[in-house]
Amino acid sequence: MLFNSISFLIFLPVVFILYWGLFKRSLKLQNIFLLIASYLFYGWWDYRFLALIAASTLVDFFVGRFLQKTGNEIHRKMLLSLSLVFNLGLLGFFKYYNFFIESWMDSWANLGVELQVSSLNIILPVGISFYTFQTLSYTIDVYRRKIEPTSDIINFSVFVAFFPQLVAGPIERAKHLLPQFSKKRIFIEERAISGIHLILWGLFKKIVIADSCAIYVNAIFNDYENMNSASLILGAVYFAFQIYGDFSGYSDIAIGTGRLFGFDLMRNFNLPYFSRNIAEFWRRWHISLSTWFRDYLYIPLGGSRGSKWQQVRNVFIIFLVSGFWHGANWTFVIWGGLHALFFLPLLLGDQNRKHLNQVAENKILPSFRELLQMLFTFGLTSFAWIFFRADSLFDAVNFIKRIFTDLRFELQYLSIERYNVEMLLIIGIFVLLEWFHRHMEHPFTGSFKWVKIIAIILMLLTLGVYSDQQEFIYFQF
Amino acid sequence: MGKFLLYVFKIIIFSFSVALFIQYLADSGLKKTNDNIYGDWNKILGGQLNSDLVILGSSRGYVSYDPRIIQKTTGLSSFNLSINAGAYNLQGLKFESYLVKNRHPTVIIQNIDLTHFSKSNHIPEEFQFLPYLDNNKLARELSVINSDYRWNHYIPLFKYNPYKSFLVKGLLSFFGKKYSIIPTIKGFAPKNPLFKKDEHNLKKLRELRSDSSNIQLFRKKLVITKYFLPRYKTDSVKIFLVWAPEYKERLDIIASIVTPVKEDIVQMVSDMPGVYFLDFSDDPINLKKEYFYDTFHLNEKGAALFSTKLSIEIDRILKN
Repeated sequence: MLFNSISFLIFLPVVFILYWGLFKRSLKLQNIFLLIASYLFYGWWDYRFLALIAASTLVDFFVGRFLQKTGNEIHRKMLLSLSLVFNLGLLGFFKYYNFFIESWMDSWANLGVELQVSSLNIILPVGISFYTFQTLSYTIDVYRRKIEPTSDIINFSVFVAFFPQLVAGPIERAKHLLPQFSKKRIFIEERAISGIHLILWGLFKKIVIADSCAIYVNAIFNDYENMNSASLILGAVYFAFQIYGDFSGYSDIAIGTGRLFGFDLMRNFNLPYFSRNIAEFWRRWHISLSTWFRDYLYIPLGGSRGSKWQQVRNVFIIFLVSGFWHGANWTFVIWGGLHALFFLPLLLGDQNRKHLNQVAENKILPSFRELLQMLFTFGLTSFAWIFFRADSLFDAVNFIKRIFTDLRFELQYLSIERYNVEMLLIIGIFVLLEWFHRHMEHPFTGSFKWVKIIAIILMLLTLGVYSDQQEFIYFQF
Repeated sequence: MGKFLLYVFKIIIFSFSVALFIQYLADSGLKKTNDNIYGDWNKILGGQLNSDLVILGSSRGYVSYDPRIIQKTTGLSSFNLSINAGAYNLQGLKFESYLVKNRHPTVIIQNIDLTHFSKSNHIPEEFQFLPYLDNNKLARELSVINSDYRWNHYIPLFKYNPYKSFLVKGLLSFFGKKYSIIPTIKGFAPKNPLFKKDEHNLKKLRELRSDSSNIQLFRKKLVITKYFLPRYKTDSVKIFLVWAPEYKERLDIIASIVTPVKEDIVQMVSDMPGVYFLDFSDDPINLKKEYFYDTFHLNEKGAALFSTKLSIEIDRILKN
């Protein structure tokens, strides 16, 4: 079920009313009901893959239980390995099997050997990368004795399958989310209202910003050989806003929906395009994944300890793995590699822990230096997004090559019967809204709150894209 | 919980009210623009026409039949009810909307050609309906063709989503700015672009011709017209089925399909008193490029000549 669908518009109020109305008196019943609602939410897309979530849940629940019971370190390692092999095995099979087979055959073909290994027609289960990472964090934390395993299988099941964040995050940690299923929930009106604000803001980001940008992005990327330099640059910029609007919009709706049910989900985006360098960008972009990799990969590898060489190695590993997590295509690996390269000068110059505060703190406008820093960082990320969006490395390289060789910067009329610059006005309004509310989760505060709420709803009605309803980009990961 | 529900209710009510108000301004602004497609719909739905003669058709009806000339020759007040790119079901919808508040005409000119026999499964030039979706009958009929229209009826402002420029035009027009949106003269929209051969359509027709089963298909579809006509036919009403001119190159391509279809029309008409078939596919107009802007549509000069010839013929029949 998509957040931007009619079915969700019906599903959410029905679940909300039953949850707070019928099941309010019993925490157990509320959790069972949330579990059923979550499975219904996921099964709406394809009920067959519910078995995968259930299997992942059962394996990690019992691994957790046995980890608690045994003190034998070898047994504990074996139990952890079981969880890792099972979850990463699922991910590997559904997401990477064909990629590895095809890459293996390609590499032999380059040596002149034709192998006959057939690839499989595998459907990628929506959200598999998210819920496997979420359950893995549980078993790893139990193994590390950072959290106590739960003995309540319902609570654990709903922790894995909680519908607001099941298919595209935020990737929650058991330490943060799991205890919330054991606490009696009280309906706090202010929190629920803030949840509604976040849902509204997330829908705006998705339906108005991301889906409108998508129309331009598709027109430009699908016909890049006939585009001039200006259109190609705009294509990359539009994709930067498409993926930001799409993913952060999803996260906002997820967090807002969580609040309606009395849950607190972690913030996943914190105005990443107002970052002054790449390190700051990664503290603000897909925070739940970045911190996951930091805690479960980067730090175990040694993190920022050890020699510079080891630090560089760790940075490259984490960025390449992060790229590969996004998809089984070399384009994602290169995207990760580029970010590692962008990060490298900061690491070598010990600048990666700079800019921990919000840009232009207590000021209305940024300084000229800050503005240049933000534009430069945005330029780097947009450049890397070209690899993320392109269908193949060949297309990405030719797209970039054309930017630097075409050198025509005039208005261009696109196949969608619009000029290449037409989206810039809406993006400009969006950037200004974000800038002037950069200390808040959403812009619906202050004396003009109602004006902003109504304006956003009017924009949803008149500027939103409904005719060609787009799935959320991160569903494919 | 009460405070929260009240807050959500306030969001819905406030947004709904503002959206409704803006929609009212835009609708009124579009309706204010006269001598164009909106002016025509105002008169059709407002019962301000009561014409003796109406013309029904699709794009060819829209650009080929000048009601001023027909009115001058026949002495019958005339109005062109054709709907651009609309097949018989949409032509019928416009005519039925007309009949709600206007007197039934005594003469109906129905343009026919190969496209007439197909049913529209989408709504062409939807922007023309924007200010009139408060008309329940019209909104209901449009929802039958495109089910998305039901949302337009219930969610204010949503209908302007695909037509943002019309929202702006409507609002500015409300506050006094003048716009010319598809100007028409009594429902007639003459066009004067330079002749351009519509090669993609000709290619389709060549493919159509190559399959002999298409002849049977069109002959079968003619039955639709047979059932369609009696709905508008009373003893006092005369109906003229008119095959308007087409450029010779096109006629040569479709001759093998059109000839048997026309024979069927002649046969059908012979059984229906008060119904006449006027075929202009042998008229000298068809030979000259200067009367067309593509192989299917007459330009203003061609429309004037054709309307003169047609009105003389109709006048002759009516007086006999």
